[in-house]
Amino acid sequence: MSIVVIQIGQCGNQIGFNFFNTLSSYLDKKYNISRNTDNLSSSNKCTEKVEPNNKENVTLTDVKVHSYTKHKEYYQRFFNIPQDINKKKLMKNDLKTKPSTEKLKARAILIDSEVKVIKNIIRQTKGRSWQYNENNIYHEQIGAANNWSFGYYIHGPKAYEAIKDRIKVEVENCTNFDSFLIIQSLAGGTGSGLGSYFTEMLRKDYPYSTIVNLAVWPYQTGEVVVQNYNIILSIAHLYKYSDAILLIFNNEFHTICSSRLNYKIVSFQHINTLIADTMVNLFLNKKPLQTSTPFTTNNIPRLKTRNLSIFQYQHLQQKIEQNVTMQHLIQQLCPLPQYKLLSLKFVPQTSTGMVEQFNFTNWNGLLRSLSQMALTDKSIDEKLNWTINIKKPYNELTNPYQWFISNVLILRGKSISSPVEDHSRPISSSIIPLENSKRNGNISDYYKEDSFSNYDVNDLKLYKYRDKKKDDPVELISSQLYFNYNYTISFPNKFNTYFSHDSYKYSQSAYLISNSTAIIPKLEEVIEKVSRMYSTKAYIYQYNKYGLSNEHFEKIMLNIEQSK
Amino acid sequence: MSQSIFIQVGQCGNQIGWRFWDLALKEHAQVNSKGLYDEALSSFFRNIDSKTGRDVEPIINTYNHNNSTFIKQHKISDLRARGVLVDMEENVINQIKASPQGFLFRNDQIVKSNSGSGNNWAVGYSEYGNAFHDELLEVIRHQAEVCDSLQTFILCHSIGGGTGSGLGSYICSLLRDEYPTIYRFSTAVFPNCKDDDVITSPYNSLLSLNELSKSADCVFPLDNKALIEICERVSQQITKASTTYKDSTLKLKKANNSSGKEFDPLSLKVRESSIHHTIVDSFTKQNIMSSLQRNYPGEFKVRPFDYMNNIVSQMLLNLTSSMRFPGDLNVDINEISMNLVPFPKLKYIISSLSPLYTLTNQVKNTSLRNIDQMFSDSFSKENSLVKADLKNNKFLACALMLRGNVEISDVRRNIEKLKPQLDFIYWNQDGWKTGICSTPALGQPYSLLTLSNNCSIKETFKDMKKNYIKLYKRKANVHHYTQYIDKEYFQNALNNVNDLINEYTMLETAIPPNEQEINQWRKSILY
Repeated sequence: MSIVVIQIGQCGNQIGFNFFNTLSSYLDKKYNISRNTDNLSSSNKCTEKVEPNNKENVTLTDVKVHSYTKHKEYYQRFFNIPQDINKKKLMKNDLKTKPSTEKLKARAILIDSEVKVIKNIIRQTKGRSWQYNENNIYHEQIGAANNWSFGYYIHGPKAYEAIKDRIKVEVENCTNFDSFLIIQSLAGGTGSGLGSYFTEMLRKDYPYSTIVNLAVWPYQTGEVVVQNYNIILSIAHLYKYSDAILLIFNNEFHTICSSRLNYKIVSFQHINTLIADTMVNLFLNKKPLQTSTPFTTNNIPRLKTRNLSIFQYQHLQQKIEQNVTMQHLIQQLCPLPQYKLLSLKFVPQTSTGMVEQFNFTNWNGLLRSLSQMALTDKSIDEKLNWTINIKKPYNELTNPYQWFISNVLILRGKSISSPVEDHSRPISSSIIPLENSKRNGNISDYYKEDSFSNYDVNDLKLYKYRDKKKDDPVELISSQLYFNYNYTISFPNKFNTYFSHDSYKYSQSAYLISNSTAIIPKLEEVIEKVSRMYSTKAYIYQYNKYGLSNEHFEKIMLNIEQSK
Repeated sequence: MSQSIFIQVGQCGNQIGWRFWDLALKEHAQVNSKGLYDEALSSFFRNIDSKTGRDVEPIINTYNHNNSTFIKQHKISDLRARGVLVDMEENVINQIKASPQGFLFRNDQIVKSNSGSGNNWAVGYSEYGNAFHDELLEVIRHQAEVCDSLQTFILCHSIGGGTGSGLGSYICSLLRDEYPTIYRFSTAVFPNCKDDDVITSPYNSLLSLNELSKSADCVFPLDNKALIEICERVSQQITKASTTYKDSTLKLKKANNSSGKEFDPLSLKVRESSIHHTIVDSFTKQNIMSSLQRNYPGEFKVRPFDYMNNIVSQMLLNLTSSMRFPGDLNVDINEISMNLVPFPKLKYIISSLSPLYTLTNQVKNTSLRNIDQMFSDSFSKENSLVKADLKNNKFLACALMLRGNVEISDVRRNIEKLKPQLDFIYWNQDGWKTGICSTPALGQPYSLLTLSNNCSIKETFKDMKKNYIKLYKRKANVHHYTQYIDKEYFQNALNNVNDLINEYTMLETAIPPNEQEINQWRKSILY
């Protein structure tokens, strides 16, 4: 279940730092909360005994460790988040004798081509409850000059050679290694070039592991002149080697910050914090689900597991029943190897203060706007175009909306038990029969027609959004309605919902990761620009300088065109 | 942390360099109150252990150690500039050595002679170049050896005179041969095309332009005239200073009419007497403002070249700030040429500063402008350090290097605002590069350096060419040059500038291909 985070470049490091920061503060807070409940149930010793038992089944760590480690560490392990206590683990036996005073160590590799950002980050970790492992830091002296080629051909091999062993150590330290998460940007030289190289090499060295790239898409204009070249080059490379590329658009996050969160002056710190919050919500989520399954007696989780496991058994060779790993997530998100660009939508987008004051969010409203956001590919839940509806019969020309290959919805909220209790039945009753009917009806047709081996975008039989609203008015109130009606498409396991009881920052929030065609216009725009620039051969000499040949470039452009 | 070596050649170069080192020290003193030798400082300075005579490593983690021994160890003991001073006259270098900044330089950093180049490019390039070849190499190598990762050579020279232009371009090509992977940035002061004092300066400038075209990675042209005008404008803003300044401009004009050399020693002497602070002083002072005020007494306004050189130094400091200090969006110096130079030949980058100030007594007098004003100012004619009309000419690319208290949303807002006003070339509509450095410039809460690769630079080239042809068609003064160099140099230089003008004109008039052509081209590449 462990994730090794690799942060590359200025952007990657800043986001990574924020991510670990929010994560740790969140967990610390959580720990406090739980201790309070412990206190309520009187003696600490008792609870200490009880708690491990509960979670023993859940986490893969042994009870021994829990019984004598502190709460905090215990929590870390419980969540088994991308943050590990590497040293702790080595010292497992010593822990009895000396209570560890050491800080938590983030399971992260830091790579940058210049020292300033990393230095800054390290300085900031001082006084926090966690820290980076200093051995995991690698930096060059000279920046990559916004040059993908420089990063890929010059810095890449050097850096990978230097940090290879550390990655190995980290991976071996994991109790249950899940995946690599590479945080990078697409605009600069370090993030894009080194990121591409690392993805490639990791794929080579760990052929069966999951590699997820969290790539930050730059502003449309303004950051780097040659960003379009860099985007194309890195997307092409990542596409070849990565399992999934989760794109984060600076633009969208910026507008969210400025218009929804009411920051007068948006700084990178705000944006990074927002990204980090979102990431925490995304990646933490799976664990509680996994934990909730065994110990609960009420039927909610069971429904959930049944829900999942049916899909898994039927369509994936997924053997682990309860564990929702990154791998699992990716498998659901990217059923087809050709499509792995993911985008993210989330609600609510309000400043925390407001939410706390007026708890006005309800699942219905949240999910309603989220589904519409996904449909219209808007990042803000404001001024949505509600006029866009699903037209029947579906026609490519009249329906210029997104096609969804798959979606994953993540719900988080303290009060989730009530809505889910209400709505989980609809889920199970709506999705599964639906799938069943499909499967029964013409599953073979799907496989034949879509013929996973060779097919074209146009041949792809993506079902239009089904309007279940009319079919089932009872479900109007049900939150699942919106997504049902939007995303019932061809692939059997395209819509999965996860939920968790603990929430970060918002009392209720919903996140939707979708693998859809929404990315195409953006990619198209970049290609357009690149081809215009490339036709005059502007800047190309800079790339050639470090070994990127024109043929290679042209090949890459071809690949990108195909991947649309 | 990467290092830069600053090479100042000729009289003009040395004078700019002098101001540069002074301001660089002050800038670091502003941030570095403890007087520790940190990594930011290490990019331009060496710290030498007084006992062993070896270089001291910069501190990497300031936060870990607070004990006094540690601080003692890394205290600035003997600071040296990573600079090389080259001049064929002793005068300026001697003055620098005698000045408060003199301790930064040792004799092993200086290459000098005492005969001058006589405003003759050929003498500087060919005769002195060959004669001092080994010595130059030795001195530069010595500096390069003490850098653990050398990244840039910053060359500072004028291209009107003899030493700066001739020897400067010789050094540039020398560097290209010896250190091909290190970036070479040239800060070239272009002569004043309209009323120039040096008769041979059209020759000198075109000849060195030719050489720079071949060997530099980036050239930042500076125009004396534009600088003078900036100084005038700034001084007009400072109402108090306006009366005294008139005298100084008169003086300057006079000096311009006679040969440049005679003028300077005089002003230097005055300057020397006025700058009576030491570096230790400025490092111990926590409050840089008060020390600035104290160190620059009123009479400082009198010297116009200092104003101008301050502006140039400020430009260079802003340029390298993002490399030295942390920020939200770091820009390493090699990113500049990467982003701004689309074709290897078109590397003439117009710089403009905003807000404008000469770093003397601006602190009290000029009112703070708001950020938006700063952005729009920097694209006006008045603010650019070259005579150039940015707004009415095509941009190839543009970089905004921000310092201080500026956030990304300010940048976004202003880029959106500026975009319709500026004419970018069709294939690079989004040719913006942004850098944000959180350490402000001296005495300014925020500042902006705009670097643009703009077609308007061709006007400068055209003027230069015109003057050149005026002389060359009569073969005036050519015999002075042909003693040292081949005649072909002249023709080559002319061809080069013609090429440049042509290329810029071509880009200026380039018509974007229509959809069909693009698609056709795309297909031809892809299938």
